Amino acid sequence: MSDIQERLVNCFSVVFPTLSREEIPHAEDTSVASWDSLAAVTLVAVIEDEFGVSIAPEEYEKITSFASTREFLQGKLADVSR
Amino acid sequence: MGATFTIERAVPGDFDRIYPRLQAFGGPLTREDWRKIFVPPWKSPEDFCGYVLLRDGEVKGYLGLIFSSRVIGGRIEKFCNLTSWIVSDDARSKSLPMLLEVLKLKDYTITNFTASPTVAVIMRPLGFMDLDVHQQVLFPVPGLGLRAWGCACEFDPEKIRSLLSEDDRRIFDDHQRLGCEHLLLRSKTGYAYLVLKRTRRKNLPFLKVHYLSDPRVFVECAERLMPRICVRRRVWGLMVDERYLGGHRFRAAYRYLHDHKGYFKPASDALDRSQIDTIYSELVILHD
Repeated sequence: MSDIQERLVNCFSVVFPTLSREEIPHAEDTSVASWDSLAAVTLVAVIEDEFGVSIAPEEYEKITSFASTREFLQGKLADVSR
Repeated sequence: MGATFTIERAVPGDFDRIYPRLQAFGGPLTREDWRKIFVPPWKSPEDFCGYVLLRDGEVKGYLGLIFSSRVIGGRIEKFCNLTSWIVSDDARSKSLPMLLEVLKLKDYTITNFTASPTVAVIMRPLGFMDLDVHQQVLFPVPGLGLRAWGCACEFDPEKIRSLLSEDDRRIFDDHQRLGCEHLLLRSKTGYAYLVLKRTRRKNLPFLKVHYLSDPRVFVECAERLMPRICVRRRVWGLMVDERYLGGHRFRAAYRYLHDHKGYFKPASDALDRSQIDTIYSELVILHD
């Protein structure tokens, strides 16, 4: 679990380099000024690369904060491992 | 406590509250020009015209949609053209969710002919495909016009309408209040119906093709009829997107290559790039 957390923090730090590693777990789309549409699709691409998953456009809506992304990713990875 | 954002369907009655947001685009478009994308002059298959982003009731963004349906290859195809995507700086995190709402529309081929470089980057991972928008510009070449045997051009709108098939007549009727021009090229094998709009390049007048019913007849006749068309319409030439032409290169045409691309997400595999035109798009409603 902590491995996912750590790798996801790395993903967020690539897309939002101004956020500190302590701030990232609290990041939300409405609180991070640079979280725009381009950042959102970039974040998806970085996560796909890092975790080897494919995220469909209809799933983008779940990526609105660090916490929701982690929850979504945990479910996704669990599905893949089944 | 964070702000509450909502995304709602916009209807023509929302124009007055959305218009201030559209003014941020700047440019020469007037209030009445903008109103046109809220009330297209044809029968829309939907009763809304876009998505509006609200924060605690205040308009923070808008994504306009121009809906149409038409018969292509014997099938009814539904189109949704993206227009006027704008979000205020303090709501940029909610711009993508507006586009995601559009992707939920079923059975629509979604088009975007005016994507900024940033929007282009967003469209590709969402399943949109590139659309080349290179053009060929036909000029009236001396000599070619003398060999127009077997080809004729009809300029009179009423005569043109009377000669059109039912599907083409609907396109003709749908575009009567948009400043479009209509031409009918005829050969022994059929006709090519063109809907065009005036545009300017280097401050010279041209006609741009937004609909071409039959590329085969167009290829057969266009160069030969160019002198006649240019004199009658008082233009320097005619611009046509290459993808309509099935790979044909006119001998005396200038290729106008564009860096930017259009984008489309087809509803089915039945549509190919050559069938994605701009006739029911913002390019006809808003722009020259």
